[in-house]
Amino acid sequence: MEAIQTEAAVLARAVAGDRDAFDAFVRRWERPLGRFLLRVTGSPHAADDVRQATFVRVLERGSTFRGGGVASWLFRTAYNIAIDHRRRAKLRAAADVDSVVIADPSPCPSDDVACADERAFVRRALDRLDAEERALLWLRVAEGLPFAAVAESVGLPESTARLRFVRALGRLRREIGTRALTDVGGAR
Amino acid sequence: MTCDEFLSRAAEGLHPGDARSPADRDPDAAAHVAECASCRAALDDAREGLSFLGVLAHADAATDLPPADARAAWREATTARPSAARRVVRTCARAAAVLLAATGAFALAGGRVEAAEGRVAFVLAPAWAAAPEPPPPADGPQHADVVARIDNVAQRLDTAAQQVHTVAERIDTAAQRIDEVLRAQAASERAHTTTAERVDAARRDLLRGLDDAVARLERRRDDDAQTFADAIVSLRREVAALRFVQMSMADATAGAPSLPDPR
Repeated sequence: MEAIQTEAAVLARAVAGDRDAFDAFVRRWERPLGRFLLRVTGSPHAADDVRQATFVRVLERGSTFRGGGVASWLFRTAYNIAIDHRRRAKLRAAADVDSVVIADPSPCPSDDVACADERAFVRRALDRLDAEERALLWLRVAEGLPFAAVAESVGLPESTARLRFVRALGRLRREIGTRALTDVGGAR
Repeated sequence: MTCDEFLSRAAEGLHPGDARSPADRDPDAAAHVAECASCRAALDDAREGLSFLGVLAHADAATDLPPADARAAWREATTARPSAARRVVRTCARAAAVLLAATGAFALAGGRVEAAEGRVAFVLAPAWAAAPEPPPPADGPQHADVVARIDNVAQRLDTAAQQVHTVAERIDTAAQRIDEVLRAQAASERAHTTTAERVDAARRDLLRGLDDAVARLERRRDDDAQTFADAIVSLRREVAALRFVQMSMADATAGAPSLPDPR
């Protein structure tokens, strides 16, 4: 609880014009936000842009923060910007995020090719899910947020977020299965 | 318990750190999953999906984008924010537009009232004609004059309202353009700064690499020179030793008695 209050206090000071507080805020959140946006946007460049826009938005509209969890408020802001970004990108048809291939950022040891292959496989399956499904899965599994915060981040009622989380996990499993069959068929 | 309720409750246990089964956690859920094949299948799929995702999440936990540019974000946010004066002008323009809209609504309402009065007058006209004529007012403005003046004032109000509305629109458009220009300028500055910083960093790396290479070459040159000097000294010693041996052999040959011929 104390940590939450501290984070809220740092945010309040940053919004009030404290440059050092803003720097501390950015250092605190740049990594989790970057990983989350990487999964939601499916592209490192888009994730970088959206993260930067999110920090700008924090300063511009931070006064609308009404207490509660900074994490869920921040992820929600980032998620909304990411969705807008995807919509604009689709309109421009400049970048099809489904076709963007993210290089494996955490390669296995050179002799463990199977491990890297499996992760790349799961990553591709994950990128085929909707942005909302990816956000739900990532915030819950990788960031470990409670369901209330996850739901707030993506703008859903908590019970709906829970249900969609389970369905998204099932869909991920089926995507992996389908892709595996497709790849095996293609290999033949 | 419906299937959706069950899955919603089961979501809590779908976490890499939670190894308990739904039956351990929730007896109601255990009863449901015992009789509902579709929920059982959905939960099995979800667990398998979770196991895949857990591996990926663990691996990607170390993934990082380049550090965020806090300075650029700060500059963009503070530059793009409209000035206080511009906000006041905008607020005034919006207030004027609202006022004019309200005035227009009143004028429309007045028109409706007049139309209604016209219909009433049409209906009452025969009665009106039959009624005795009231004596004209002794002095003061006539009814027609008053109506004409009201019309005149209403027209002037309309014209003024249109003008103010146009001005408000122009102010809004100008403010939007200023916003766009400022935003573009901030983005351009950010890109420029980022590029300049990258170039600087690359230049620093290059210079550091060159310095290292020069230092390595100098060390090698010094080492080689030393080795060469040592070799020369060693060779000179050998030459001196050989000369000494040569001279000794010459002396021995000159002073020694000749050996008798064996034949």
